[in-house]
Amino acid sequence: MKSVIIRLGLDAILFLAVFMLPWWVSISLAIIFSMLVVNYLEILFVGLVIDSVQFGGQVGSVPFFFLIFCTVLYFAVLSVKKRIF
Amino acid sequence: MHYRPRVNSRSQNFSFIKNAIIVFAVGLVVAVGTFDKGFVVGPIQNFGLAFSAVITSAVSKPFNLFSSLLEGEKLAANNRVLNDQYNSLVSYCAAEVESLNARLSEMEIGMGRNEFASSSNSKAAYVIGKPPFAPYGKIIIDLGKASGIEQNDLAVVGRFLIGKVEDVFDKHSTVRIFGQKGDKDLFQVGEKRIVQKGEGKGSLSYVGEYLDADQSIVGEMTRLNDYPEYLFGKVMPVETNAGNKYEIFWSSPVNVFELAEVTIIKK
Repeated sequence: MKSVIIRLGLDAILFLAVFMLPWWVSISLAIIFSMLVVNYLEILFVGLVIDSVQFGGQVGSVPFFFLIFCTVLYFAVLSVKKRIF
Repeated sequence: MHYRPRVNSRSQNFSFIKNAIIVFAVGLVVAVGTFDKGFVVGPIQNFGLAFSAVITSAVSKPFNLFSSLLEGEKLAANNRVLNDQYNSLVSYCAAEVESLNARLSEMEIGMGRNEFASSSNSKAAYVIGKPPFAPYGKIIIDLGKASGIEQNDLAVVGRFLIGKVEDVFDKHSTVRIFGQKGDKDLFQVGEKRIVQKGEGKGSLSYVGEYLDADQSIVGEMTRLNDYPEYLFGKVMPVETNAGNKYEIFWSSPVNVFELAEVTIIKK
């Protein structure tokens, strides 16, 4: 129960950050939180929102760059965590 | 010896399926988004705009309240400064008015205006013209019977007597200026008030015979013998005339040519 509350709290912080703060702050927070929380799928949502709100769906010539980057990040973190623990 | 949790094949399968679903979902979003960006991005952008507006107003309200409090404090300080300035200006103006009044009364005393102006027997009259054929011997004033002017009232400028009211009409009067040619009047000359017979030499000037060449009389004031309470004119340097007689000449300092206002005093 406690871990659910903590997760919801971190989600709320990330939700505010992704709409109000620059993308690099949100990404940094997302990386940190994904290291702390198991199966942190919210990182995909962060990528999608950064793409949509801050870049209009396309970063340079790459569409949904942050969504793809966050997906890769998710699997990387998953893999790292699997190796560590 | 490393500890590694046991992972059975079932959970491995679940993990694989979950990851596959994630990759598929992301791929689907990217594909749809590439094909129709608005379909994916639009709703998120609208939500983001609404959300930031709500957050911004919620955050800015306390700041607005705080800044309005600061503004109020600033306005109150300005108000205090302005009130102080206003009070000092009021006291400055009051002091100025007082000093101007004092100067005015000093000047009035100097000009002799308020000696008679305060009297109920006097009236200020404007000079409105000169009658024809009497260029500077008479003046017309704007007061007449209606204002209570009577014949032989005195016309005074400052402390100097210049003439007498001659004809009185309803709304105007004529004043005969002293010192016209042929006028013969008695004067008191100087501090000693020596009575001297003067003969008119033109407007507001007289000439008279004198006993000796004493120049100390020069600059002394003269008064008409009939009205010794008013000044008439100043004595000029003593001269000798053709018959080896000394004569003095006295003239009023009032310039009849530029006369605009006189005080009429009841006889």
